[in-house]
Amino acid sequence: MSSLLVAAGTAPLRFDALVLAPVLLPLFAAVLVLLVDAVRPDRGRAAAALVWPLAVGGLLAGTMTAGWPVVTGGVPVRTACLQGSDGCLVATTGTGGLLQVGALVTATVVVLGLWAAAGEADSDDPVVDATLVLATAAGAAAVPAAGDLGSWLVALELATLPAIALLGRRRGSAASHGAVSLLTTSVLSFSLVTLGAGLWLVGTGSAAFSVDSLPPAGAEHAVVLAMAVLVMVAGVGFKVSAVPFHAWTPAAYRGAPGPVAALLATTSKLAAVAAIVVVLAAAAPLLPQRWLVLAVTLVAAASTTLGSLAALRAPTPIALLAWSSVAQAGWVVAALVGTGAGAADLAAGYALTHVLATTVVFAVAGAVGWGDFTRYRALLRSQPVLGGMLALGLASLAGLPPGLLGLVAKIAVLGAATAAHAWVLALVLALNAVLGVAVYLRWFAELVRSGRHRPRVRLSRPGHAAVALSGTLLIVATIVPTLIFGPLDLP
Amino acid sequence: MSAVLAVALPALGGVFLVVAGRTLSVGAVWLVAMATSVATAAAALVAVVVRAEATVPWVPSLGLSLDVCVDGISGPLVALTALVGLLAVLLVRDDTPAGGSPSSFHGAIQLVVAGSLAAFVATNAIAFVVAMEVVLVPMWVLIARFGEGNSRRDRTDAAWRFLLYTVLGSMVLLVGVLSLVALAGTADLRELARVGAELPATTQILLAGVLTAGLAVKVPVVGLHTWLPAAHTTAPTAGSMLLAAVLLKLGTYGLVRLPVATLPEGFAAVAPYLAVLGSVGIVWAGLLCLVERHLKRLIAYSSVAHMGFVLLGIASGTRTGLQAALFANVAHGLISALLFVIVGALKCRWGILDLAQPHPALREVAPRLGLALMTGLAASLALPGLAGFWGEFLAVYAAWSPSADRPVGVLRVAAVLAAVGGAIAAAYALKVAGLVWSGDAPDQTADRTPDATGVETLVLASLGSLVVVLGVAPGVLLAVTGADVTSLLGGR
Repeated sequence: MSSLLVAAGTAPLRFDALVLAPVLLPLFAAVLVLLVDAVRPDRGRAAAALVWPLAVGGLLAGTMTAGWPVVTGGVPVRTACLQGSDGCLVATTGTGGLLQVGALVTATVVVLGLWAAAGEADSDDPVVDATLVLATAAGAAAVPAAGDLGSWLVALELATLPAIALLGRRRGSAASHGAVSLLTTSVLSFSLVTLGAGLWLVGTGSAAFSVDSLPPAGAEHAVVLAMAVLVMVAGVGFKVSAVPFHAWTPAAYRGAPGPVAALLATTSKLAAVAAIVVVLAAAAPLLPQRWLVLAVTLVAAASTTLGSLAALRAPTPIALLAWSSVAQAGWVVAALVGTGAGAADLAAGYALTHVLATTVVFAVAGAVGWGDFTRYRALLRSQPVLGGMLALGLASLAGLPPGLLGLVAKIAVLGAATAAHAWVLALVLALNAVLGVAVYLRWFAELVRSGRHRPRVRLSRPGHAAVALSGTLLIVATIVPTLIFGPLDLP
Repeated sequence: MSAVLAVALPALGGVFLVVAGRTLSVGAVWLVAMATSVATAAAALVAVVVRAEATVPWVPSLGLSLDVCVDGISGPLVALTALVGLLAVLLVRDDTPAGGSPSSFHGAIQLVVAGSLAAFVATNAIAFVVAMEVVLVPMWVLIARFGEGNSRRDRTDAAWRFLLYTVLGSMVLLVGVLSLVALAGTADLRELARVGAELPATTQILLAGVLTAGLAVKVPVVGLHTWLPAAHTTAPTAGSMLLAAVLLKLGTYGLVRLPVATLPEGFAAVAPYLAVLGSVGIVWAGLLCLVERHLKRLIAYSSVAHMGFVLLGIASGTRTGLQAALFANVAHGLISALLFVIVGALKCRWGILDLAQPHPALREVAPRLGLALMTGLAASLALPGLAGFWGEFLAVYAAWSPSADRPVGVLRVAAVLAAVGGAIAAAYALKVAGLVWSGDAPDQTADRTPDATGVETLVLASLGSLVVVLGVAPGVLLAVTGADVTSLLGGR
């Protein structure tokens, strides 16, 4: 365990590198990848043979360092703490640790997917792709641990901007269209978030997320702080794909190749949810309850309904997954309706469950191939493992057993809504759960149909690894949901 | 322990068959399924006799634990589920339905049994709803893949309607349960029975309304019943047996455990509506059965009528009424399982089940089948001496003199309507007997109808003898449910 002493003003800050390892290890792997490119710039198979394993190794190492404190119960973990107050620049709770693990694991599956797709015409530069994904992963791992406004902002943008480059590099008008919509959305989101950050500085006078810096409730600055939180969450709402910030989602998913869409659906989304969790946890005592319930009800109802209805009519699996992302974002927002700090942690728990299921679906769909639903006909019979994993993932998203994990998560969110006496929200969510069953079961029905499956599936080793990693995690979490819901800081 | 085993054995067996059963031969699959069913039945019997209790923590941070307990109310239903599951597997020894692999078929049946058993033994209200959802996808697979409809479109339509209707009911029920848990502060059904009565009256009425609305789809209450004929008609025989004998009981069992036990004042306000809807259902379903030509759909509609009597008994609010409802539950389970087995056997032999076409007389060409059919039909029309009589008679009697907090006039009208419905039931049952048992086709077609095979005879004999035993000695079942019904109603 090494520590670096850095002078900041008059008070030195101590950094514990092990606490920062989940962020540093992917960045270190990115540096190594760039070194490989500098030393051997031939961009051929030799480079690919080095680059992808480096990326996977860095991400897995980061996952282990992130998961260790969660598993051994050593949370909360802090470092780089300021003297004289309880603010730390890096602070991870149980929820934060879980979000870090989730972000790094999903990034690993994305890298494996890109590796499996390498060699096709439009992804001919493994170095750039790997570096961009590693940067996203590092940002996504840094957001849950952000203890102050500056690192929160930088980490959030680091976690979401590289996706634009990944998308823009692809050839084809759909990809360009998606990249442009993603870019304009990101600019809008950034401006809102920065405005919120400025308001936060005015409201508290300090950039650190610490309890001492909060103004007393009822003071004028408390109103400014509440506004700051509202604007910041609205800005981050773009990245979560909640209505009315969802317009970029269908275009971006349609234009992106499978693994890039997976990155948008999983890692970026976890980073955005983590950003909301950190902000709400820091400002929890000062938020006006009644308006919160109203706002959450409106956004959640609109997102789940619009997303489910559009997904019902989606012509292709990728369109279905895009709109499903919008609908699931509605459920995540709905979890925020509860009173107290546990609400944000519940939202994180729901986000983790649906992102895990989405990862499995993306991994299998990457192996079977995109196209339309008939490609999956009778998959369960010809490829029992792939079909079974996809079936479990879809059932989890629908919230129907055997997808017990999804059902438990939906019960938790509905429980929060009823406990907060938000009856309208609870009823809307219940109706949308039924719609959700119809949405995902449409795809599930194709899997279990009788008949012959064509075309044949060719699964490469990285593709195998992606399905195995995400599928095993989903199966284990389905049998023991405490693995996800235990470490969360629920009341 | 035995209760946990009774749930875990079919669950593990079902998962094993679905995941790994494809490597086994058809005979081996049947043996595995049979062994699982026998073990489940043994564990269930032990659990019922011993009144087993156990606790399995699942997700402590969300308050979800799998507490299980078998008492006098759930015991008979647990035994019924295990028995019907065993008989369903036994019945398909010679021919598994086409449409998919035998391992998926048997796996789906075991999973339906596991989910139902989990629902009946659960003492945590949220775990009850989760268990109700577990049976949905396997039953959907049974209807959509292995169903008997004329076209794939029919089967898919029936399966989807069943699934979406039932999920809607489950979600509304879930909202009600979560609200009740939030307001009462506990999710344990036994605690809720004590704490729920202390909630204010308007809250009780609202909650009881939501819970009843959610369960009304499952029962099914007339108006929300349109999923039932399609699902029952299209499902394979084993699937129809499980649907009628087990899944319909989940709804009424939920009514007894949730609104009746926990929200007495609230349910008192909802009960008159339930009684009226129940009676309307009896008459409506009876009239439909009078003109129905498809034999399997006729049996399906008669299920709506029988459930109407159960609703009437529950709505009366007296001890007699609740006992009658629980008795009618078990009786209907046995009777409908018996009738669906016979209908399945006839379909195998005749190909179509149209009552308007002439049929050879069963009493002459297939006397064993004929005897079983007459037993089933007589029990269905509530002939004294068979199981169906006691449930219906006592339900009407209880509705005629309901408890003090029910409007007497409304319930008496409902009782009269139910009696009229009973007469209509006699009419259609005798009509079916006349067409099928007496028959009117010449004897040359007799060789198309071989009598019941060994397996079929065993299944029919078990169900038939239980129907007769319950009819002649109802005290056996009434004694089991008696004490717990009294404590549930608080001595009213």
